[in-house]
Parts: sequence; structure tokens; C-alpha cells
Amino acid sequence: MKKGIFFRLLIAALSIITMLAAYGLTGCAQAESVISEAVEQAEEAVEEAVSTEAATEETEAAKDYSGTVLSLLHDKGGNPNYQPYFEAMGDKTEELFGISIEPVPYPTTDVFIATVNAALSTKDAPDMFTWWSTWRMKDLIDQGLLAPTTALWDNHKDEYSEGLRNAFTFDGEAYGYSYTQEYWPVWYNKDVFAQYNLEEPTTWAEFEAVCDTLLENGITPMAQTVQARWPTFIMFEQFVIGEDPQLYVDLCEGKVKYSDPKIKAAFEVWKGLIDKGYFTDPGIDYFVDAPAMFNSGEVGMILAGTWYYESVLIAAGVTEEQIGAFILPSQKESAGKNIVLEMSPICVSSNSQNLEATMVAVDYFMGAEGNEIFAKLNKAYPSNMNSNTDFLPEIKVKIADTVKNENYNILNRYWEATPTPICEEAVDKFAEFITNPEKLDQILADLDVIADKFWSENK
Amino acid sequence: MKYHNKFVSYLYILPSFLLVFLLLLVPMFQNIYYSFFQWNGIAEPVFNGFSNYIQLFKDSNFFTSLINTILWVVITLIFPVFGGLLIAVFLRGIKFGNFFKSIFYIPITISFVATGIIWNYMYSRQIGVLNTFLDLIGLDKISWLVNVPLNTFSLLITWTWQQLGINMVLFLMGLTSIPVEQTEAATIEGASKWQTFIHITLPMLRPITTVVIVMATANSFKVFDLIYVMTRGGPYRSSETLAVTMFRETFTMSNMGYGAAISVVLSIIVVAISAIYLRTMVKKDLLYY
Repeated sequence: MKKGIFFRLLIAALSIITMLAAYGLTGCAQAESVISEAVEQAEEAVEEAVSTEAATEETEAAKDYSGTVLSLLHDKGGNPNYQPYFEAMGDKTEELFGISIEPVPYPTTDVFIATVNAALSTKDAPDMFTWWSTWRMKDLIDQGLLAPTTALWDNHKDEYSEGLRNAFTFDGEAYGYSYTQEYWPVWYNKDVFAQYNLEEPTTWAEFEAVCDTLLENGITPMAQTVQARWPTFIMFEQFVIGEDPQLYVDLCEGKVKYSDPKIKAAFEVWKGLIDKGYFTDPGIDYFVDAPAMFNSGEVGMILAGTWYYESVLIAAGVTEEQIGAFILPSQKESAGKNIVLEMSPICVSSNSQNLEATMVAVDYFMGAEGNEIFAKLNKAYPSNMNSNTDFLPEIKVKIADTVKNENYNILNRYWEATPTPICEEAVDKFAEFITNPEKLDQILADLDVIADKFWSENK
Repeated sequence: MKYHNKFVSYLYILPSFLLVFLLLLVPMFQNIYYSFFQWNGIAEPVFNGFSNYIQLFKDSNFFTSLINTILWVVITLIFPVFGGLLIAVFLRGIKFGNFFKSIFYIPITISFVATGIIWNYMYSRQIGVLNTFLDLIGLDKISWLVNVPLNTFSLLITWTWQQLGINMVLFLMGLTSIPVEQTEAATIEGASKWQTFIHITLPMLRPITTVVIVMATANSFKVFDLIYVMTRGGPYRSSETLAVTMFRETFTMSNMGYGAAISVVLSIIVVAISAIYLRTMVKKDLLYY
């Protein structure tokens, strides 16, 4: 293959030299046209050589990778269940490159994290795995367990926002790619709102009025849970952001203590709502009980990621017509308009035994067409700006438009924005607060101890 | 010839020994080794002496877990063990006995994970049968798995439901092995059923009781899957036992060394209690026989 290209290039070079010699012999006027002809011939030869090489490489790529099976570990095998979506992604890469993908679902996040951590440093490391951005990704990068994908981000540099790329970039290298991104609005039952002549609240006062009306009519305004541990941060982050978004960023970065008066004020707002009976009993399950209660009109609103719409509410039998969404207004007007964003990375293991094939697949998934596959199936927002979004339900288009047109301040989710060791302890403390709000001072002191320990060891 | 026989005997036990050595002893000593390190499971372990053990005794969550574990052991001895004995005694020789035995035995054939999921639904505030019943009779619904310490007792009810059957079967085996002549002789001598049970049946059941108690104690010390599926040790770590704390520290928090230290302490407790109990009971049995 290389020999063929070499000869073509050699012929092109010789023809230029011959023409140059002719220039010397026959004079400038004639020679000028001869040279341009020779250059054209040479360019054609090079183009032909390059295209032949690319075509040959393509054939080789297909030949080399056919039969390759890539593993993709993920923790979305329960509720929500992304397994069919990942399978569809694999079907496409098999069709295009002969690379099939075997998604391996884990029903619980804890077991999934433990498995990935244990496997990453071994030769049995998964080729790809779903993960979380920022701090949760950094731990793995620091240990050299993730393969950089900088070249792929460069391939698609005009297709992604700079902010998104920055969230995946550490010390100049980008890692993984974003297979989807989700906002965190409030989902509400349209039938219930219509029954009591309620409208989407645009201010905190209006939100409280909606809650009061629902409560007066025997409907629990909002869902809240301590089950499954992690959902306890949902309300916490919302109320801290609603107090002051910069305060939230500073807290996540260890610049502010949990006992800070403004953080305490956010907790007080939360406590006030708990005391008023705005929330469901925390014993409910956010993925089984909450959608059932939403469907039956027992609970009016649920704060959750945009993934909740398709894979939880619709999956639980709630109809599209029943579901409305709005962005929760900040309790302090000075906090402005804010919304939480959850980025969903798929990472590539540095110890993957099929690194080349994995990069081929990831390159495709980062492209406009590839990035659309998962998003279309889950009716989620694709991360690639050039991907088609016609499939998005109206409600999601509305949320995205509101965020864009009203200049919402976008903030990283607490789960990713806070160092993992703090977050894992903090979610239990939030659960303690939800069940015992009167212990606020003690809980804040405990959170300070947890955060101080981490930051003193990781300056 | 004698030495040859001994050599052959050792050859027979070699495969079992190798399995135990490779799959039990090596990981066990590895675990003890790592309990002296600070290690996140990814980076190089850093030796930190007894720090993990010192930290353990300063950790209030460890003591909550220890108290919960002791509670599990005590309740296990009262309900699943004593309950299993009662059921075995009452079911012996009654009409449809086999049918009832099967009913009590079925739960043990279900995995802990499936049991946890089933009971999660039963305890569900929204769709659970228990709360539906409470609602029907006009009582407030209860958050069985959230209210502390009710959540631990709810878990223990599930545990009892599952463990009764196996203990019943073991006691039934013990009852079958008691010679009929002895109980008949006692009856002829005028002993009441209660006196026969206390003075004949119970002492004769001592060997099987020893086995049941040791097994039940060890099982309750290491209970993990049921708690993990139903509450994950929550809310706010209130229903954790030592096994759950060990899992959390090791795999959720990536504190491999600290998790290893917890498992060492848990093992020491289980081995010590089992050894003391077995030694006492074996001595008694020798005296008795």
C-alpha cells in the first residue's frame, strides 16, 4: 500500500523537476504554463494517493475492528433503565465499523462504583463506562485510569460549547465525552394545576402560593425522599443556589463553611417548607412511589432531572398531556435565575484492551449523528450542538428555550461539583436533616467537620 | 506402611486444603495486611500502622453499627431461633404437619435480595400492604424503613420471616433423633408435657441447639444483603450493622484500609463469641453424656 503511494509521489516530484529543467532551457513564458500544469498533475497525484490511502485505511479499519466487542459498564440498569439505549448505540457501531458494544448494567450505583474502581487498574478494565463529571472524574484521572480523548474533542471542536469541553478538561487534557446533558426543573401535574386554577410560578411568592393551595386541597405539594441516599441533595442544592449561586460554587470549592450564616439560611428555608408540610413523607421511593403519587394526583410537583420525564414519569404510565415543567424560582430575588445542569460522561479506560476500537466508537458518538442516538431514544438533550433535536418533546424544548432566552445561570450538580468524599457523607447528613430538621445546628457542625477534614488533606 | 498411609491421607485432604488456603486464608491475611494501610483501592497503599483501628474506636458511626449488630444477634436468638424451636415442637406429629412445615420453610428458599425487594413493597408507604391495612382501619400510615429505630426492627421482622424455616428444620431433625422411650418413660412416671419438654426434650436437643445458635449468631453478625437492599443502612446510617459499615467504607467511600480494619474487628468478635459458646457447650455436653 505504502509502496504505491511512494511511487505516485515520486512520479509527481520527478515531473516537477523535469518541468523546472525545461523552464531553464526554454524560457520563462512557456515554462510558466508548463510548471502550473506540472503542479496540477502533482496535486492530482497527491490527492489520488491520499484518497487511495484513506480508502485503504478505511477498509483496513473495518477489517481490523470487525468482531471487536467493547464493554460498557453503567449503573442505569434499574430505574431508569438505559440498557436498551446503549444496546442501540452498539447496534449502530456494529453496522458501521463492525464494533459491537456489550452494555453491562448494574442496578445500584454503589455496587457499580465499587466494580469500576476495582476493575480500572486491571487488564479487565471495561472499555467504556458511564460516570459523573468534575470531582468524580478527577479522582480517576489523578490515578491515570482514564484515557485522554483530547484528539476526539479537537475533531469535533465546533460541535461542542466551550463550557462543556472545559467541564471535561483537566490540566489541558480532555477525558471521556458527554452522551447527554440534563437540566433539573420541577415537573408538575397539569391536571391538578388546572383543577385548582394554578399557573406555573415565576416568583418564590407564587411558588409558595401554589404549595399552599395544593396543601389546602389535600395534595402534597412536592416529593422528597431519603431512600437510596443520593436524592437528599436535590433540595439542598436548590435552596443554596436560591440563596446565592456564588455561595453554592464557593461551598463546593471549600471556600465557604457549611455553618456559614447564608448556608444556614438556605437550610432554614428548607426547614420552613418541611414544617409547613410541603413535602411527602421521606420514606417514599423517588422512582416507584413518587411517579405513582404524581400520576394519581396525590403529589403535585417533583424536582428532578430532565431524564425523569421519559424514563420515570412516562415509563410509570403518566401521559405526556399530564406533565408540565417550570424552573423553580430562587427564594431570594437577588440570586437571579438559576438552573442545575447534570452532565453525563462516558469515559474510556486507559487499560482498555481495545483502546483503538473504543476511540473509533467514541469518535462516532461524539459526532452529530452518533450523539443523537441515545438522546433520541431517551428524548434527552444531545450534547453535540449540531445534532438533530426534532425528537425532543415540546416540554423539553420549552425548558431549553427558557434557559437560553432568559439567560439562566447554569450550575453544576452537587453530586459532581463537590468532592466525592464530602458528598458521600453529606447526603447522609441531609437525610438526617430531612427526618430531624430540629437538629440543624448539629448537622451543620458535622458537615463542617467532614468538609474541613477533606480540604485540610487536599489543599 | 504407617507413614505411607499418612501420606495418602494428606493427599486426600490436599485439594480441599488448597481451596481453603487460596480462597479463604490468603484473602483473609491480605485483608489483615491492608488494615494497616491507608488505601483508596487505586493508588499505592500507604502504611499507617494502627491508625485505622484508632480511628475506628473514635468513630460514632462504628458504635451505632456495633450496637445495631448486637441488637441483631439478640433478636435473632429470641425470635428466629426460639421461634424455630417452638414451631418445630408444635408441628411435630400434628395433622397437615408437612404442609405447615413447607409454608414455614419456603421463605428460606428465596434469596435475600428478592426477600428485601418483596418486603420493601410490603413496607412501602404508598403501595405497601401494611400501610394499606393501617389506612383501612383508620390509623396513620407508618414509614417502616425511615423512622428510627423502627427501621431496624422492620428489618428484623423480615429477617425472622426468612430464618424461621431453617431453624425449624434443624430442630425437627433434633427432635426426631430423641429416643421415644425416654419421653414415654417420663409420661408413664406422671410427668406433664411441659415437664417432659423441659427435662427431657430440651436437654436432648442441646447438640442441635448448639449448632443452631452458632449458625444464627454468625449469620446475624454478617447480615448485609437484606439491609443493603432495604435501607442501605439508612437513613443517615441508622440501620447499619458492622457488615454494612464495612461495605460502605470499602466500596462507597473507597477507604479500603479502614474497611479492612472493620472486617478484622467483626471477625474477631464472631470467632471469639463462637469459640467461647462452643467451648462451654461442648464441656456441658461431655458432662451430660
